[in-house]
Amino acid sequence: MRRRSFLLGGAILGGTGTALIACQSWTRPITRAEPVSPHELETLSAMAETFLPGGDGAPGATEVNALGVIVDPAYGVNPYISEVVSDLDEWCLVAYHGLFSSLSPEQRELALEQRMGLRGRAIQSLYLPVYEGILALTKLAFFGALSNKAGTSYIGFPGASRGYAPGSAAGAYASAQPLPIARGGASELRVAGAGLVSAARATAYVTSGDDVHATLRIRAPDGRHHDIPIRAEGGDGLVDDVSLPLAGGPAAGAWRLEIAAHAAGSGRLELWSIRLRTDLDDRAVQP
Amino acid sequence: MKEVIVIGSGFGGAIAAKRFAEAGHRVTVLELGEDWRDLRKAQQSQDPRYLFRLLRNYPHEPLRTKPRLIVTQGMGYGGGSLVYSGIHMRAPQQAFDGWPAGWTRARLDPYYARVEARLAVAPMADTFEFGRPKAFAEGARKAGLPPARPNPLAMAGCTRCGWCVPLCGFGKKVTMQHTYLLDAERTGRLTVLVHRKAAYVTRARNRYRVWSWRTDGVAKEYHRVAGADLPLEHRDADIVVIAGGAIESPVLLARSLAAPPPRGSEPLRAFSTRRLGREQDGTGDFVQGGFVPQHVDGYKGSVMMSHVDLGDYVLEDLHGVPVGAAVTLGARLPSVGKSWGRAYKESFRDYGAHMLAIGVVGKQGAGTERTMAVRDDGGNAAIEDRPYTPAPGALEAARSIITALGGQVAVTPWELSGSAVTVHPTGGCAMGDGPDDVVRASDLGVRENPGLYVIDGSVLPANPLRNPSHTIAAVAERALDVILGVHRPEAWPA
Repeated sequence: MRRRSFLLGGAILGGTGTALIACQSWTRPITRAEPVSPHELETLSAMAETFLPGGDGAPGATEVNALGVIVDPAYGVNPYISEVVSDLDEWCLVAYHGLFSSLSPEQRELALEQRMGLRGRAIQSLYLPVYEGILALTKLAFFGALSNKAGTSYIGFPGASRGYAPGSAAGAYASAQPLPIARGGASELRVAGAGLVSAARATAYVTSGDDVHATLRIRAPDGRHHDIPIRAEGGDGLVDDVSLPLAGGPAAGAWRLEIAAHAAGSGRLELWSIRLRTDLDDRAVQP
Repeated sequence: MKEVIVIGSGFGGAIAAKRFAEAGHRVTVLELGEDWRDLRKAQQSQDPRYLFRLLRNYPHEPLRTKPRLIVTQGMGYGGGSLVYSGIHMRAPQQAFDGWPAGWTRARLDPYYARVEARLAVAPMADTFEFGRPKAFAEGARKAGLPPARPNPLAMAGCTRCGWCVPLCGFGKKVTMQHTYLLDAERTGRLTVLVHRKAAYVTRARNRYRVWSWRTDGVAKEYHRVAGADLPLEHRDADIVVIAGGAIESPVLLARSLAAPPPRGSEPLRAFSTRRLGREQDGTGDFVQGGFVPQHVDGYKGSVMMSHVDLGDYVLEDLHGVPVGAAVTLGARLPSVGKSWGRAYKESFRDYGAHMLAIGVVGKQGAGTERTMAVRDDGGNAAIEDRPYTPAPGALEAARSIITALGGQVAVTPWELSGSAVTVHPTGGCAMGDGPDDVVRASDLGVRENPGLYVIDGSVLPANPLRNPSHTIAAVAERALDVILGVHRPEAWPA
C-alpha cells in the first residue's frame, strides 16, 4: 500500500515568496531509517554529483553534503534507496556494461536522463518519483538546507546585502559560531566591498545557565573599538541592535568581537552580527 | 478566576490568552505545532526538514489531487505569525461592506493602533534603498500606477539579510510568541501545551470539555491525524476560545456538533450550521514574477517591503525564497534545457539577482468570492475544490510593472500547474446578527453556547482586501474588550 501510494506520487512544488512546500508521499516525515550499503552510498553520491557537479569554482553536491540529506529518513526517499540503486545499476549493466558508479560523467548523465524519461517515456523507470526525489533533495541541500551554507553562500543568501548601492559593503554580517564566555576569545567577520562606514549597529546573543557579566569589545577594521557591557543573570542576554560609534573608517576588512569576562559562568556567545551602512548608500538616489 | 482554554496561538489565540491572563483568569493554550522560541531552532527554519513542521497544506497532498486551490497555513506556538511577513496594513473602508452594522474602519482604528503599538509596527526608513522595492517603485511609476509606499512592518531591528522566511534567523520578526504570548506568560497564569490537536468541544455539567489528540513530534500526525489511533485526552474549562484559523476552527465546530459526545459529556447546544465552514475567501493571493534587467537582489530585505495600493487590491514586492525557488525553477529551466548541471547553479544565482516577484492581495475574481468551503474528513480538515481567480486586472497590473522595467514576464506557478495558492483564508464562522451567523457580531460568542467563542480569521465576514493578520488582531482586541467587560456590547451601535 505504501509503495503503491508512493508510485502515484510526484515532486515537490514550491511557490516563490510564500514558500509552499507540498507534501508528497516521499517527502512526508518518517522516523525510521533503513540501512544503506557502501555501494548504495557510492551510487547516490555519484547521482548527486551528476545532478549538481562541483569543480567549477563553485560548490557541488559533495561540498553541500547532499548525500546526508538524501539518506535522511525525514525526507522519505530513504526506504526506496536499495530499489532505485538496483534499478539504475540494472539499466547501466544492460546499456553500458557496467555499474552506474563505474561510468564516465557523460555516461552517467545520459543514463539518468534515460531513466528519468528525458530520452523517451518507453525507457523511463517505474521509480521515477525516487529519481526526482533524489534530484530535488540534492538541490535542497544546495539551496535550502542551511545546516550547510555552502550553496546559499554561493548565491548570497543569507548574507551581506548588495542592495544599498553598487559595490557598497553595506549589509548584515553574522557569525553563529558559539564562543564560551569564560575563556574570552574573539570572533571575526570579514566584510568586503567599498565605502566608509556611515552607520554601524551590532546584535549579540548570549545564553547562560548562571550569571554572566562580560564586556563585548567590537573592533572595526581601522582599529577603533567600542565596548558593550552585557549582563545575563541566570538566563539569556541580548544586545539588541545597538548603535556603534565607529563611523568614518573603511567598512571592508575584519570586524572583531573580543570577549572580556568579569564574572563568567557557563555562558556562551551564540551569535553576533553587525549591520553596516556606508557613505555610498547615503548618496544613493531614492525614487 | 475562571479556567480558560484557548485552542490555537495565532493572532486571535495569542491576544485572547494575553487578555484573559491579564484579567486574572487561568489560561491553557493548546497548540498543534511545536514551540519555536529557541533561536537556534528558528535558524533552521529554511531547512525543509523544519519547514514541513511549520506549514500545513490543505489538501494534504495537493499534487496528487491537483486541486484548483491550495491553502497553506502556519502552525506552531505563535500560529500564523510564525510564517507571516510582518505586514500590518489596515483594511480599507470598502472592505467593511457586508460586515455587521456598526463595524467600520473608523471604529476599528483604535484597535489597529493598539496592535501596532504592541508589535512596534513601522515602515523601514530605508525601504527604497533596496534593489527590490526600488525596482518595484520605479516600475510602478513607469507603468503609470500609484506610487509605491513602504509597508508597515513588525520587523524592529531587521538586519535586511533576507533570512526571514519563515522565521527570522536573528529573532527580529515580531511574532506572537515574543509579544502577546510573552505578556500572558509573565502573569504566571499561562500553561502552554504543544503537539495537541483539538478533536471535539463538548459540554460537561456547566462547563466545557475540550478533547484533544496528542500528536507526536515530526511524525506524519502533524499533517494528518487518524483519530482512532491517537491517544485522546481532555480538559475542562469555564470559557473556551477556538482560535485555530479559518480552516481548522469551523471544522472543529462542525466535528463537535456531528460526533457523538464521549461518555460523561454532552454535545454543544445546536445552532444553525447553514453558514458554518462556508462562504470563505482566500484574500485573492496570487504571485506574478519576471526577470528584469535591474539588480533586484530578490533574496534580501524583509518578505514584502512596499506596496502599490489599487483600492480593491494591493501589489507588493515579494522576497524570492531560495527553497521555493529551488523547487519551482527546478521543474524545468528553459535556458538550461534540463534541471541539473553547472548551468543550473548559474541560472539560480541569476534568479536571485534579477527575479522580481510581485504578490497580489485583495479582491478575488468574480464568481470565486466567498465560495471556499471546508468540512471534516475523519478528524482532518478538507477543502472543497472550488475555482479561484485573481481580481480582474490584478495580474495585468503586476505584469505592467515588469514590462515597464524592460523585463520579461515569467509563467506563474498557477499557469503551470492549474493550482492557485492562498496563505490568507478567511471566513467560515462569519460573525453577524442573523440567525444563520455562527458567532455574534458583538463578542464573537458561538450562538446558543455561552462562554464559547471563536476569535480568529474565520470570523471575518468579508475579505479584508489586505494581508489579514492586522484585521484579525484588531477584531480580536475589540471582541475581548466586550468579553472582559471593558465595553458593553451595546457600546458599539450601528
